[in-house]
Amino acid sequence: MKDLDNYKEAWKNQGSKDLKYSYNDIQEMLHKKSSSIVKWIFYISLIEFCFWIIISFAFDTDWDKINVSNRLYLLLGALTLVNYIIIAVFIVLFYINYKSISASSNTQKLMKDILKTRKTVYYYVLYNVAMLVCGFALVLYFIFTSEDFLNQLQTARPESSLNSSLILAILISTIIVAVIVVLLLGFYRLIYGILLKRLKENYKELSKV
Amino acid sequence: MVKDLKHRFTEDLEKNQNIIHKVCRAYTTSDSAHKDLFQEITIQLWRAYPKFRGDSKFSTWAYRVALNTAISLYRKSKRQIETSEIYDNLKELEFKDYDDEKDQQVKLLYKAIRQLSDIEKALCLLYLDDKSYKEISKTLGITEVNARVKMNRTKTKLKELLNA
Repeated sequence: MKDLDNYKEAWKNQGSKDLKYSYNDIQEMLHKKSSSIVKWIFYISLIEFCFWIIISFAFDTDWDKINVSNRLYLLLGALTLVNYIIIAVFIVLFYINYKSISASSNTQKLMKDILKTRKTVYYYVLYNVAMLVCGFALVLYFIFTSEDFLNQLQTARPESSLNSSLILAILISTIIVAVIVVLLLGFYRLIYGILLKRLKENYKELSKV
Repeated sequence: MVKDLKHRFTEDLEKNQNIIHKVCRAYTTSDSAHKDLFQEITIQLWRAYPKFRGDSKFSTWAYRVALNTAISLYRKSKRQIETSEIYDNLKELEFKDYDDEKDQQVKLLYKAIRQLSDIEKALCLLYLDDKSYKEISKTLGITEVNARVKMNRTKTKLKELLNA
């Protein structure tokens, strides 16, 4: 490595031509805002938390419109309560992970902490999507088994049998739910894909022996 | 109190800014991106400064934060890629004034380093600044053995790029 040692010498004596910032320049920089990916992750995560909390509130009011039995109403109430507890746990976990991110950790730990924080939000989103699908399934079950709906279906499609009309209705609603889920997860992957592609690659490279 | 801390920090950084400029020059390809990254590193350093206990030198600590920011926190803008050629040409002009052999070597080094991956760049900078394997493994969070293996590969790659 003799060649490199030669370059090393030159490297050590460099500096005179580099840009120099004055005391005042540096003081001014301290007032500027960070544009780091951690800040982006934090804001996007906040939006996600708010988005899914609003969605669960929206679903909360929907249950009243459906004529459900008392026992089922209690069950749904309990489920909603569990849902809020789980959301609160996710927010606490996110906060703990977010706080552990420190620029003065070693490089591998820093990357691990950033990815861990993101993963918390990823699981939060997956959980909410699963709840959304369950919610849809329940609502659709009540609609499809209600007499009002079955009567309407028969009036709307008198030429077909009730069973085939029902299968068609189930199929259409399943496709709509699937499209919503794919769009939601796709949008989510896109945002984080753009934000974390380089970090993931670097983490993989650093961890590889 | 905060004013005092700010004053001490600014003085420390002003004295040690050379290290940060080296990192910025290795990780960016335009003057505006260099300034952007320097600013982001300064912000990250200032945030972490209250927890800096002085059990290591300011320069060692700042080096680590600077590398971390360049590798994990900083978002490269697309503008950088587009202007990389202009930047290289500008640097060419800049170097004409002092074009002795050593300056030429530094210029070639940066040109080669910029072609390496983010992790290799960090290894390269740590090697050129004569950091021990113990310190490299502590900075990057990998074992000393892994640091040695990675360093050997990076040195070979750097040599190839310099001789190309």
